[in-house]
Amino acid sequence: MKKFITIILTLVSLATIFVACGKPDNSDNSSGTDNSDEVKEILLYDFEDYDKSFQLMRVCGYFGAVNVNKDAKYVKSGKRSALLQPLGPESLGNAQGVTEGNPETCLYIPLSSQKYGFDYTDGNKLAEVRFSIYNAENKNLNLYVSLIMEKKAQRLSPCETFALKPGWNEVFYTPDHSVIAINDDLSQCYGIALNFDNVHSRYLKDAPKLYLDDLSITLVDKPFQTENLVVLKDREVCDFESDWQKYVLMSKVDDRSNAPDMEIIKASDYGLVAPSGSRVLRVTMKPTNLIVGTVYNGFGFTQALIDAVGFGKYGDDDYFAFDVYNASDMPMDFPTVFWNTKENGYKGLNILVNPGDWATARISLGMLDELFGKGERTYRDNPSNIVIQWAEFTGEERVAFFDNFRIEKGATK
Amino acid sequence: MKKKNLLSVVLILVCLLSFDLALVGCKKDDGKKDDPKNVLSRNDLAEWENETEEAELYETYRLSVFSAYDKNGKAYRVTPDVKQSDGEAVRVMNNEFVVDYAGGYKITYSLTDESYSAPEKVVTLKVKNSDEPYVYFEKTRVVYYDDEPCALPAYVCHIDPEVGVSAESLKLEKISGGKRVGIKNIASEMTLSAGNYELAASVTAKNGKTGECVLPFRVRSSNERNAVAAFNDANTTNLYASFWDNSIYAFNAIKATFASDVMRNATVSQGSYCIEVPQTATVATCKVIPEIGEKEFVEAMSKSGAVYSLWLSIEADDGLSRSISVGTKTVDLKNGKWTNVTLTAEEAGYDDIKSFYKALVLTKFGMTVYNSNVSPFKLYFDSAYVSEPIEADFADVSCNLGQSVDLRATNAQNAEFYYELYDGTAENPDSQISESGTLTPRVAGTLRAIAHPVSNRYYSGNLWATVTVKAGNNAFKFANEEYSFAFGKHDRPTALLNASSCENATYRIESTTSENCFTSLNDDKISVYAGEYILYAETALDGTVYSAYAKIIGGNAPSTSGDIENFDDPSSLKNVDVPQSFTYIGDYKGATGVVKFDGARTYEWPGFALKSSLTEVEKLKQNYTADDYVAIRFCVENAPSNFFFFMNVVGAGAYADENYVVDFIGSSAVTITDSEWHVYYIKAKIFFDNIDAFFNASAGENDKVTFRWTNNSLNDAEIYIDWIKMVKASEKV
Repeated sequence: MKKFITIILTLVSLATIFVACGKPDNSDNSSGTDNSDEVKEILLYDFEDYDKSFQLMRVCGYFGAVNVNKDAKYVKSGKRSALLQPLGPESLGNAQGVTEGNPETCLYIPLSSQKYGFDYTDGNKLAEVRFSIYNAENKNLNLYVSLIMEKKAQRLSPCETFALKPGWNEVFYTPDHSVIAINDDLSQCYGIALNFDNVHSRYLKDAPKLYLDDLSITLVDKPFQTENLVVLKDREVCDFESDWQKYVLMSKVDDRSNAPDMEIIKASDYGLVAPSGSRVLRVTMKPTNLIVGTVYNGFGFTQALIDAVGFGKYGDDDYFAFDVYNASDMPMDFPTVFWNTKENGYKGLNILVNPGDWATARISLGMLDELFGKGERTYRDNPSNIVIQWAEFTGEERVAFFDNFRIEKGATK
Repeated sequence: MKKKNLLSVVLILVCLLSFDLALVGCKKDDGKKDDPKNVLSRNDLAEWENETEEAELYETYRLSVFSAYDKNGKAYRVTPDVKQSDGEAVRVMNNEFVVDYAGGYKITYSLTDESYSAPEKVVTLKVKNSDEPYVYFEKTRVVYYDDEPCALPAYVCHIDPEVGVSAESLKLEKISGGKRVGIKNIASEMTLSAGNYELAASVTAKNGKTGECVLPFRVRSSNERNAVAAFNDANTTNLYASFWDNSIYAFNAIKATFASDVMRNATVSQGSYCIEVPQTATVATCKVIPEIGEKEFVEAMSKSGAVYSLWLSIEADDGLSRSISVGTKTVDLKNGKWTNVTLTAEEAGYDDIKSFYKALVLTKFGMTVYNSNVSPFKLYFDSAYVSEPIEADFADVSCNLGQSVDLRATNAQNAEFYYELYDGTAENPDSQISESGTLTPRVAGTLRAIAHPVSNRYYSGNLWATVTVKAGNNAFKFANEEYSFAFGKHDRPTALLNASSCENATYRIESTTSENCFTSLNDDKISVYAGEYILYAETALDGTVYSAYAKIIGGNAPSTSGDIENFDDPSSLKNVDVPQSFTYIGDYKGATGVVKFDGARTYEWPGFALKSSLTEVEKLKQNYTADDYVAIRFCVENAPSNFFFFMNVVGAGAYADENYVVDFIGSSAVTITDSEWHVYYIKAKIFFDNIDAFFNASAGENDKVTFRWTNNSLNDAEIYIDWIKMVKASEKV
């Protein structure tokens, strides 16, 4: 009896100790968010089970190759890891209007699986992504991590950049929910995208070698509260002075390889005087090998910005206006196309810009609506993307600067 | 024993409870720094020293520390905190922020896991050159008018607050003719008169370093509100041009540049825009993008008599005119002369003014310039306005030659005018212009003067006045108003001053058409070729310049020895359809009077067609029979292999003897392998049988005889032609 009581007490005590101590200490991996008292770390991919790890992942858009690695030197835990040989994407950007079925280049790591019964696609609760990655090259490599916001990986969230030193790196990716929420619905976050720099080769022998292991995610119970970053000055559309404005830019191209490079820069660094403030958008347009004759590439603004502008509050006499500087050595035509939410697009204006000079483009909103016709299809009632285009060209890259997209009062032109 | 056992059990439970409570307490305080579970020193963490970095102002700075590693390689997530040096928090987006505070930043990285106690890693981010004021204006693309307050842009200065500013100044100057006049009491909004200005902001730091920004701008006259595109400054780009490039078979854009020193008139214009149409362009399309708003355009164009008005001019090395199609109009642009093109919406090809405006904005309305001469030229654009006719009184005046007249137009609106006196011919570009209206006529007679409104929003319409200039005793004129000369060399008519010869008179001759002027002057001789010309004379007496003119009518060149075209003088080139492709070179390789073809090397089949002289075939028929020949004498230097020379009859109908019609490369084509003179014969029958088809008044544009040869684009072949003439069958070699 005495022995029995002692055993019971010991068990009760141990149970009490266990309850008091709670789960094993994983706190060095916690998200640190104040959003929830409850954090949950889930080891999502350990790369030990081929079917569960490798079969779920997708290699999108000429990413390169992913293979099983059994060399213990490149395994963080267990016996296996993933060998990545990335060739790199043609461009890293927010491209829209790309031919259907043409995803962004990336390693697509899903956040859900019907077969294995997990679904962590609510990005509102995703606090952190953590993984180990071994850089087998003798130089630093850039890793770009983003979330996949469209099921076929046609759209990625703005990426975060990590400089991977040679050897093992522990990557902690904490998505900026407010930035992602500018353009996307965080509740539909399909996966994690990994990207690397383009090696300018399509041969695996030219690709760097990296080893990926132990990818875990940290979830919180209470969704993150995002803040509205898209705050505009009076009559401003986009003057490129604010940090968030890079996130409302998108490219509109038929082929991602033609996507322009877009960078917000200090105008004086390029010998220019900014029409407004000190920063302007620098757009590097890509040449094609062949002129098809019907292809227009371009860049534009996402719906988030268009919604924030509130075109409906402006009158017939107001103008959509912006300034453009053609830094190429020949005149360029920048047709400006307005799309309504009914998916009708009309060219509002051809912006014909001579080289080496700022030009101002003005488009009457009243006239623009007439292009769409009266009634519920008008642009101001259903405003959507505005795209600045250019005709395809061969030869060298061309550069143009844009600034001070705005709504002008008609009386002052 | 039972009691003892019970006590033991209670004691054990109490101990265990205490232990549990201790553990629970331990769990609760797990993250407290004052009772850390794990302590890490700076040396325990790799690369955890504080650092100082530098960044450019407005650079996007990317946080680079995401994890810390201890000596065992264990990784710890880190949390960054970014503050300006003045303590203001910085919103980091996606691990980036824009460096826009010259005072610098403090970036603090700490271990996210509060169960670890570790020192922070601090990165002090300094801004390069932040001790030097960086000054710029908030807005630099400004458009001001003289009838409303100008909202001058504010300036921004970035400097490290630790350095501080000792002085700031703002300077506004009006610039006129190289003179600068300072303007006092600068306000954020002020009304300025039309003209050029410069606004300068200067900031001096306490360390003595200075920063400055300058904004040149122009205040437009309120009259420019009617401007579709004034082309008065380089501040706006409203002109776009492209051309069809023969050499690459594609449309190419043409650069338009502001020409501050080329304008139709300094009174009403401050510059123009120029496009340079290259030799390879046969057609160029130009579009003027309106600055004026739709409402203003429609309102202005709706006024009675209002038109879209544009001034154009060309500068061509070949001296020839170009044709331009604008809407439903075709206008001849003469070299060196400004031409006003005016359009109503209907003339532009649109049902209403609004549609016209829309077409302008959407660049669907263009002007087509034809360069049929295939020779480069400059096309200038100036003062595209909506203009309405002005009502004014403009009285006729009279004076004696040598005296001045005062031209004066007046109207109820007190509009300003400038005046132009045509004291040559109405086509003479050397008309006299005066802002004041005081002018001295240079010729006697009944002259015409026009009053032009200074504002481009008006056009003069029929604001003409007659200026009667009596000859008096100082008449400077030719004896006749018109002289008719036979083809060839003659004594040049002489203008007399006061009925006496004038030794210091200078003479020049111009064609009355856009064609080349082949008639030429040589001292007191004039070599007259067919056509109409104006002979001008000019002289000066007592500080007054006099001019006189007379019309010269030249007769046709005589046909001799069966010549269809002998190319014996430069005017021969009037007889070919592509004169710009030829050069008259005179005698060559023993031949008298030779032309050289050196143009259009990229054509598949270069060549030319004769124009008027083939009509002489009718006369030649009187002396020749169908068995005789039409012959062409030519030679080729540097001929490519397989060089064919042939005659091609172009036109509809079965009019040609197929034995002699060489349609492209045929059996009758001659292959040229040397550089000697050759004569190529064609039976005259082909001409005689088809004279009606080719040369009568109803003959089609394409019903002609052309001489063609193999494409010589591969090398620099030169084709010389001596003559084309009738040859008796008995004389055929």
